[in-house]
Amino acid sequence: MNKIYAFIIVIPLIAILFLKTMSFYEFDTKQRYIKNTVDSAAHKVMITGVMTASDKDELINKLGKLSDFQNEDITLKCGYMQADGTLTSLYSYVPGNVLNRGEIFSIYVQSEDESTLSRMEGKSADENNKLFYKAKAVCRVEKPQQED
Amino acid sequence: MKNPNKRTKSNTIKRIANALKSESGGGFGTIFIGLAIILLAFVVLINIADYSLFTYKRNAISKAMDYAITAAVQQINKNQSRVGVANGFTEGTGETMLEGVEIDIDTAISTFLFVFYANYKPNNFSIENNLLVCSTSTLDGKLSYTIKANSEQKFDGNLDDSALIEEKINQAIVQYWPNAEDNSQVYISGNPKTNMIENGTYLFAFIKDIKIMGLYSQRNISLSSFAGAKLERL
Repeated sequence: MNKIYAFIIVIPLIAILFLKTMSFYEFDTKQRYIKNTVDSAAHKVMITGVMTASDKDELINKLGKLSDFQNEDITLKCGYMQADGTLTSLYSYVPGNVLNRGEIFSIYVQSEDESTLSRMEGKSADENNKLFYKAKAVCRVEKPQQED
Repeated sequence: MKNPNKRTKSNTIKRIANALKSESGGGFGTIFIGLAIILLAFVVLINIADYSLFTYKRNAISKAMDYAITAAVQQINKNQSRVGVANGFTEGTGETMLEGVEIDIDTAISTFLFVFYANYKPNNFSIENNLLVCSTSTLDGKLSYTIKANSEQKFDGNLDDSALIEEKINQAIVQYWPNAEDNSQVYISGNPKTNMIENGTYLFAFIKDIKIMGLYSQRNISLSSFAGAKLERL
């Protein structure tokens, strides 16, 4: 009889712990991969000054393997940096536009679906408590530009 | 005769031992062992989560520094620099020169902070008081440097050899943060041939002793980043 109590208490606790570990591990790993993917895309723009439509498709394709990302989930922005090192505003970037040296380029991605960890934590009732996969990279184009 | 108290004690131990051994019971033993394993697994999990959070933040900060330094190195002060065709070529041979191109250290710091915070800005986190920036440029074969931190006074001067810059940066670190807990140093000159800063326009940033919070523990680290100005002339 006592062994039944053991099963009632111990096995569910181990199961909960195991599932939490799995969901945390999944979130952490995917989040790292997504940040890395976004960083690689930003680096390419930093060096070349342009993100082509095919580059963007490739980015969506890579992100799609990790979670659900649609075209509108990827926000691309660019803007000019002031001489004093500040930025007034960013406007949206059209893929294929060639940026000059010194311009700011920003990528922001957010997944369509909330993560498994977020669903397990049961915070879905409130929109703000949802845990999405997000990543951001802001860089300044540093391709060589010939000046006198 | 044996002491009756002793007998009671040994009887109690025997009874517990029998209860643990007995075929009918033993459930509590399983529970205790099970709970101990769960506790152990829980502690391990929390520690892994703590370290994982720390490494995620550390990687994000180091990536943000990377973006920030490549942005800041472009803040070239054209008024102080030798620009124009007349200064771009040596008179004797006609070779292109990239000497005397100066980085404006004040706007470089504000650019650095702007791009850094655009990439990484959680609540209650700032690096203004931990940031040291060193810019270098070449003039007539000598390396001139400017070191600035904490919006305090600048250190500047000229060096004959670019390998000596490491010592100057470390001296500045001690002077800016005399009471720092950790004595982290910058090592950028392995030997004169592998020196990171060569004669040229470079920017070096160092964040000393920032506190990164994991799940429950706090770790202090120092990070540095470095970029060349990637200049060209027609």
